[in-house]
Amino acid sequence: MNRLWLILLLVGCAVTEQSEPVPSPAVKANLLRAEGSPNDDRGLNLSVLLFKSDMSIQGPDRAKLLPAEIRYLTYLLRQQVVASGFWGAVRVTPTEDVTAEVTCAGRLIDVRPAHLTVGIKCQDALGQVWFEETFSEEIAAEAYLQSESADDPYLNVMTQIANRLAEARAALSDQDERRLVEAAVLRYGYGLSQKSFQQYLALNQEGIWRVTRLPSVTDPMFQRVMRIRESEYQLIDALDEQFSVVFEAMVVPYRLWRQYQYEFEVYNQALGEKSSERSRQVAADYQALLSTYRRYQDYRRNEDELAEMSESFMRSLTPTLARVEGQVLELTGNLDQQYELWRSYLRQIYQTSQVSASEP
Amino acid sequence: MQIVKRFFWLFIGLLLYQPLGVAHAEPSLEPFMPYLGNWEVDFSATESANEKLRFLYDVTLSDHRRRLSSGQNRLGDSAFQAVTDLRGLVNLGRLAEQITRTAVLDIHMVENTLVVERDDNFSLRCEVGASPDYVENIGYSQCKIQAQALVFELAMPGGLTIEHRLILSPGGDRLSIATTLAANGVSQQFSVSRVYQPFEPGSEGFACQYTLDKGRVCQLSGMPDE
Repeated sequence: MNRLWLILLLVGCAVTEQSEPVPSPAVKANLLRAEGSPNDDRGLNLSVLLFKSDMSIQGPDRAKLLPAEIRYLTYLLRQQVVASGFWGAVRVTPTEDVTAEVTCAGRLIDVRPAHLTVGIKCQDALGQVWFEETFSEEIAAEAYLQSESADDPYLNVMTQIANRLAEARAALSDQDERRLVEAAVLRYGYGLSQKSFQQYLALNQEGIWRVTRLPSVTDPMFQRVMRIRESEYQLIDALDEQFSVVFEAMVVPYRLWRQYQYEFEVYNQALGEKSSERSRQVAADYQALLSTYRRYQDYRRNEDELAEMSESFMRSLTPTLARVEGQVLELTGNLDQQYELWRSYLRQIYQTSQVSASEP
Repeated sequence: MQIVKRFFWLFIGLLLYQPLGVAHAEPSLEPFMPYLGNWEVDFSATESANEKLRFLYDVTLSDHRRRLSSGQNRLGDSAFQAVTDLRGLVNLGRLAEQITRTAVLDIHMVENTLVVERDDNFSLRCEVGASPDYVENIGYSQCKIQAQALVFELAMPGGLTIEHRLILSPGGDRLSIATTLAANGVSQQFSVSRVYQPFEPGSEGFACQYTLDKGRVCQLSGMPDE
């Protein structure tokens, strides 16, 4: 960990004038936590869609890492939202999830070791936008000098988002909550069969839904929707479990890769301000030369590891066997493809069962 | 006047216009294909970094001696600088010896990227058709095809640069990797070549792959189960 100090010191030796200020440590946001035992039945489920990237990526090596970075950062937000304890199930989903009462979609605007900007839009099952904001932070070099078990340097941004969500959640009345729970089920049913569920919902010109009436809880159609939704939860949870495995595996290499990248950025910045003749001459000292190479080697090895994880997202998984409504489905392809396949199977199953139920 | 202006902008527009088909031509994988496969070091044709260093040291030393004794030293040359230069050269040679020990290479394509996997070091990656304009930034690397050679350039802090030049023999049965190290304050570059020959991986070899559902999976011979 002292290596970053060493390189910063060396950069300092290489240049005599003051270089652009390195970001100072940001004020740490304290995570708002719900009272009572965490994650007890709080009713509202929240889905975090996989972030999209708005960045123009410099260099092919970085582009290769992006799929892994996207998943890592989405999962980091999920982790912090779960830790706040304000929510029921918090899930990461590859595409829009209509099963959740609240859904958040994020865009990566600027992701560098020294800086993170994320745009987040959260809305509820009625289509009401809770907030659409940009969260940004300069990351200080010290953030990468902590032990590997310390908080992720990007965690503070995720804490700010989790807190913003908690504030919006706390402003809801019990009646609002109940309305959202009802709307989520009905919109899920509407997604399966528009014809059967349009009688319960109305959509205004602003794209806001309104629950006009409720089906009976003993209605077989409604019960079938609930069962299918439960199966969908199980699948999303299984996919989330796979996300969590990759997330855990990425923690150390991603942190180290960013740490080295940070050093290179600082170094480049310093050199950019000076003529190359004044740069450090490492060749005079073999240990300095060797350690320069070793650092670069570590950086590239971590990059290799992350690239391999990124590629794994594109690879096919072992087919997943899922059971729903007495049928066993085999899902093939990569993670996103399996999820899409699952959604289309569900629609088919529901429609087939509707037809057979209506036959005399 | 207004019409002249319109014609001027129309003219500029025509100059800037490029048919889409030309701008989005698919990059060719052709130049990279002969490099693909498994390669092992051919010791009989490989240079020794230590011997190369000894030779270069002697040449550089005699050059400094000659110039200092004959008074032909360049502006700013001194005995002290000659010693620093020689020390730098020795250090580059020692580092070259350390980083050119790769015994086995596995060169393959992952989508549009050529990956040179080395048994003892990080992989060299080359994106086909990518614009190679990042090498000036330290920490980045670039690759290019230059005079029938596949060249990787790596830039590191302290002015240390490493170039790996991969050259195939005309018959395609030997692959030479010439590694050149240069650093600020050292008058000479240091180069050493290693030669590799193709081989078929043995059946007892392990093939490993990172998979989302199983983590890192290795199995004897061939590719891990999809």
